[in-house]
Amino acid sequence: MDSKNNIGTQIKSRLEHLSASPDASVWENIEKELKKKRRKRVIFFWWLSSGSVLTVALVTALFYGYSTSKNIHQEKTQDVKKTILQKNNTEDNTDLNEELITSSKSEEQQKSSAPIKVNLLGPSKNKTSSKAINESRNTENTSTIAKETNNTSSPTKESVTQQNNKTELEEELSIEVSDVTSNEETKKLKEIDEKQKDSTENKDKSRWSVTPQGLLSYYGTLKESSSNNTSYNYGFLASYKMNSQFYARTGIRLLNLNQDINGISREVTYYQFPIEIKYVPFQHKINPYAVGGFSYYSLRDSKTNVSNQDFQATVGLNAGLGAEVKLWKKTFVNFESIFNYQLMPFSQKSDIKPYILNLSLGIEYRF
Amino acid sequence: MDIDKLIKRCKKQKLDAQSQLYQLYKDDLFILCLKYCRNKEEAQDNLQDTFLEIFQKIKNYKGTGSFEGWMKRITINKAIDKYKGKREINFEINDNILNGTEITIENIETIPLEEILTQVQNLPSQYRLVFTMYELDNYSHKEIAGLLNISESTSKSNLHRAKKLLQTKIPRPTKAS
Repeated sequence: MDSKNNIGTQIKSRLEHLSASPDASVWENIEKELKKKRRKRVIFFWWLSSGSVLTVALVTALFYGYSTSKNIHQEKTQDVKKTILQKNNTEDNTDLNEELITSSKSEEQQKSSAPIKVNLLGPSKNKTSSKAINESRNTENTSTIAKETNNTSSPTKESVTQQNNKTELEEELSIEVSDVTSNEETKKLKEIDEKQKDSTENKDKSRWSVTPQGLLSYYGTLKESSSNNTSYNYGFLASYKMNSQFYARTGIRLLNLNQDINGISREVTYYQFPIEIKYVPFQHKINPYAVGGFSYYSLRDSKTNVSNQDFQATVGLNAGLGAEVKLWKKTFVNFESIFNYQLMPFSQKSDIKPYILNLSLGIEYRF
Repeated sequence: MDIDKLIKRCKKQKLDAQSQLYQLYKDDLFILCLKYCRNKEEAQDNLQDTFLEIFQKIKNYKGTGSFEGWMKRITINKAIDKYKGKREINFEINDNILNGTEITIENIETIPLEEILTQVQNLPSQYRLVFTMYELDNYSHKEIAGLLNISESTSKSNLHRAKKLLQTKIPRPTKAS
């Protein structure tokens, strides 16, 4: 057998000279697939990052909200205690003054009619009863009587004794008042708590909300002048109320954007995934608010006259102002103006620094 | 750029490096695909899938052995996977009479390369794979049997049938004993 004539050997030797190249579309398809995979990785990364940030923000806000409400409750409790104590002190002092006046009057009467009775309320009795208020009052009475009966005693001594007795009396009174009022105080605190509870129950407890919105988008550039920039778009937001003033929100917007720069027409379609914090300082029927955060842009489609501009998925920073107007109990109308700056819209270096200015009108329903 | 640096950058999923690697090896791997596939379109599809797998698995390439050999194995395995995915008729022919016969052909130098390639591509898929693996890429029947999930004797008979078909299809065939 002639191995040179073996069909396999001959074909092999002939095909070694074969030269061929694949079409350019093969690399284009490969490149597209590679970018798609990269985009998926970026999406995963950003969602992971934003999820972590949101979790931290949520936990912080909840902790902040909890500690604030706790402090407010403690402050209120202390204020109430103070008020009650002051009130009781005032009342008791008034009573005491009245009693003192009355007892002084009675003493005068006793002095004039029965001096022996006065002796029975002498200092010895005062010594044996140190805590009882009535006895203290008797001490006061006694000192008053002593002042009146014993004219030989010096005025300084009398005043010192009176002052000492008065101080003791006040201390004892405050102790007793606090003891006596503790029950009342508890009752009042309970009443306050119940009132607070009632007022809270009357407030809107909605934590979540959904907002479909329509947008007027202006796709501009910071360095270059552009034209034909406006387009109408739409989106959907979901938000969570972290506390009375802060909301975390996310959603999706479909942005069909267009702009002409120096005769170059660009049309891009992005899915925008905003992750934002909304701050509402007031709780009225019309509430202004501020929004800040970032967005992930996933490129859906791009058409451009320039072949070397290669758009890809990117992220952007968002900041804006808005106002919400209460329509019904749980329905609000939102007006917003949000500025979005795209950080890296192109895979290649470009002088075009695009931004998106969105004016939106949304209907928010809370639940 | 040095091939090792290129591989390193490809491991970091750098698009420019991936593009360079593609430009460097696209023709060799495309010719390989042409031999294993039925036509140009199928070969291009196979090349596309091959490169995507190369870029995905390049991080597993340890640098031991030839990089080209590693890429060629991926290319051939990809073609085999496609064949397995749409396996046509299982040509389980086990006629030992055929195995002992040498199929020869005389002077195919004058026959255009495209014509020869077309005849190889027109072989039934399993014949084509066995013929190409054995005759053009030096696989053993044992290796072919393992890769195609067939017996060695089937591989041998498939090879014989493939040659026989080529002999009849390619102009001016001669048969010698």
